[in-house]
Amino acid sequence: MIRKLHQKSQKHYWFSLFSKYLVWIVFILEIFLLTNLFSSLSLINAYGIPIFDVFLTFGFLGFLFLIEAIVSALLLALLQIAIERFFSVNLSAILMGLLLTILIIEWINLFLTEFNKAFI
Amino acid sequence: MKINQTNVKRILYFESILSAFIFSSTLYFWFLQPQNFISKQRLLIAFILWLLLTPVLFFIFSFFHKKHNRNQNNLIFCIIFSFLASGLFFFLFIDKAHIPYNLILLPKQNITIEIKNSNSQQNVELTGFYNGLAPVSYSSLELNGDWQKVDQTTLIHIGKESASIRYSGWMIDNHFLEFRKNPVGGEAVIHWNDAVEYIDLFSKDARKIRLDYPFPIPKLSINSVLFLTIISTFILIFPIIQAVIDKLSNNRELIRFDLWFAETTPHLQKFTLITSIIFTIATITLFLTPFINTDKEAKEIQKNNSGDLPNIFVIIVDALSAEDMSLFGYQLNNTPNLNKIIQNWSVYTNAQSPSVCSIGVYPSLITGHYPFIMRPFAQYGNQIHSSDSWIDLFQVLDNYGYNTYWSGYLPSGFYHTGSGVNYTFAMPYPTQLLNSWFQPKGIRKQYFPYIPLSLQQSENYSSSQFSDYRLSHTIQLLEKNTFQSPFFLYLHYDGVHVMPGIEWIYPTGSYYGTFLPANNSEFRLRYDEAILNQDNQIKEFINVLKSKGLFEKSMIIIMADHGQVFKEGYLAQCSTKISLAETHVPLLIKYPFQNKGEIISNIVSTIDITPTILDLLSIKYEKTWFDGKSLLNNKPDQIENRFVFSGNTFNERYKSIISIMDNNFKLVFRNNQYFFYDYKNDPAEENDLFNEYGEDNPIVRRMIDALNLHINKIFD
Repeated sequence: MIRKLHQKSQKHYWFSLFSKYLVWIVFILEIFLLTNLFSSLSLINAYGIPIFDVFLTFGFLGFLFLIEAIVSALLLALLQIAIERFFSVNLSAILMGLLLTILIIEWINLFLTEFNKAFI
Repeated sequence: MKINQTNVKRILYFESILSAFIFSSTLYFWFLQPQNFISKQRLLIAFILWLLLTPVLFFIFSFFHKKHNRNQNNLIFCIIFSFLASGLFFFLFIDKAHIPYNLILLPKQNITIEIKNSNSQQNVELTGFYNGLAPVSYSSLELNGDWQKVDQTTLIHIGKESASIRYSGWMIDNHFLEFRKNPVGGEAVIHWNDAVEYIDLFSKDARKIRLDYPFPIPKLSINSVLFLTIISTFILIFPIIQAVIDKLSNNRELIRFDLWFAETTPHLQKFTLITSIIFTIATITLFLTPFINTDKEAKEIQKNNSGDLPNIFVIIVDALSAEDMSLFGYQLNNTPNLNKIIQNWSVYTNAQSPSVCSIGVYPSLITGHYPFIMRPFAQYGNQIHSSDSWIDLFQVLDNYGYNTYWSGYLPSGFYHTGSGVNYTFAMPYPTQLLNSWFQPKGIRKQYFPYIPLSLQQSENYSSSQFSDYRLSHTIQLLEKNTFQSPFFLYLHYDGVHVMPGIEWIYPTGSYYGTFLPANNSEFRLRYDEAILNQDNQIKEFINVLKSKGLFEKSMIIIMADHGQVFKEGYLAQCSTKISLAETHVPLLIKYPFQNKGEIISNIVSTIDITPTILDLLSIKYEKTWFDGKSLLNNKPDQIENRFVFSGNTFNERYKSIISIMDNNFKLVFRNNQYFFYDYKNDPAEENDLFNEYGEDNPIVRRMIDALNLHINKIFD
């Protein structure tokens, strides 16, 4: 399946961009999800919330994130293609730089959350 | 226009810095800032404008590069220009009336200080005023009356006439307001956003008065600035590094960080796919859970009970004071319909609220305990989950076979005490999404581990949703037979609560002008018109119950969370006075198939409702579980020497402000001082009898002892 996706992405430029952004946005949102989970751990323990319930709740949240990621990746890919077409400039490095920035900040946030010191 | 490719590359780097900064800031404000601090509509407009601005900026940059072909300085120039442009952009397009300079993340304050008329000469010195509030640009300071400006930080008002200061802006240095007064004194009324505070300037020891900011300052405020700075710095760093690398490598592009992404992406694809499948499975399972009822015992009880159980309505009219209802002897006839409706009901003429603030009432009602601390939702939730002797009425009724419906405030901590709620309705939130999240009657029914941020930050009330929105919506739902019997319906709606703002308005509906001409602003009579309006709404509600055949066999409770007090034309609720008008609330109960009215004049508390409902349903409980007492098995007329307590639960600073009452007297503990009133004969509480009676008076002594016991119990 992955091979097929990869082959497809080679055929269509927009799909290649879309899948690249999708993968990274999903990854970023999953770290955000983990941050939420860590910050809720004391509550989950205090109330004795079953693991299954945690799975359902955060799984649903992850699903919502997935939908948001698909939309965001689509918009980003279209934006990049539009800029390339009108200005003949590849902005891929900049957009990925932005994602990398968010990723780094998220890791810091996650690290601090583990020590119960929410960054924001 | 022909553009040099090297320059175009650089231009776009910095144009994208600007873009990224604005984009990330917009997203940040949009999702993380508290709702009322920033206008989302303006953010959206700003963002759209920025999108339109992008090509314009592109050509401006290109023009500068072409004209001043000084490559060495381009980098610094573009950085400075980007920052200036982004700052200018925010300044111009977002909301300059609300976001000046670094106050972008702080809530705006509206404060009015009014010095009242006095028979004697007043000398009020507002020394801390400028210190605390530090007026800046874009704030407004309006002085009325005779004020003398002594220096940069001191204003003095001398004279018998009234005077006022109206301030609208930010508090920068300190979140408190401080001022002094001359011992001759007077009285000041302070409106701080939607809270009202009376300051008695005659008070002997109140030479220096400090008012702390009564609303929680979000932790986001300071850290947000840090966050924003870091994110913008990081965004700057990457293009700079890239530019430096390009420079060092003579543009041979030996190292590009986007190549790192290209190499890493395929490895992440598998991970993304697997997690996406897991999320999808969790979501499908989640939406199947309402159909899986795992609680067999509860199901059995529900099956056995469902045919016999009465429907229960708890209707809470916010801020309705019994002192202003003709039903309880008020001079204006503002409850003509209720007077007729309650002919065969049980009317409790001396019902007291456990708190003078809404936030303290909900958890008290559903647990039968007095409020014990500010922001009580989380604390009550902890008690309910950790102690067997603390119960949640919703949970009990849910387990007993009721469909539980709830409509009221949704503070972010709601999930701590809302675990027995099956459905929400008439909410200013997307109710269906809320209900699907709560998963009524399913596996998740006992827990609300997480409420999505998007729900917590949903839109505020609009004017159309204020006042009787929830009641009228409930009437519509009743007409559509939405509620499934047996049901427990808990409706706390805005009722006669004043709509806060510069011009405070009461929801009078079509009764505006009944007691008071249109241009007059005397609050109390307008409030009475709002009560008249609610009286009519309640009549409609009762009529619908009758037409739907729900009236006779139902238990109907009509009450208020707290009242309002009016003094010299000004209103207060949630005040430190804990006035009788704030605590004395209507409590009207129609028990199932009740056909004979009764008037109970002994003192009761609204926290008695939970044990009363349990008694009515013959649900066994221990009396020690509640501070409240059942109104069924312990007729108040048979209870001797009962004390009830009321407190101010809005802020921790009020935790030592509490009152105790019996059938005739009231003792208030405030600012480490006792005040004693014969409230039966002095309902306005104008005569403090503490010195006259003395601390050793048996009635006073007994009340002090009981109060100390109570304070130790709830605050320790």
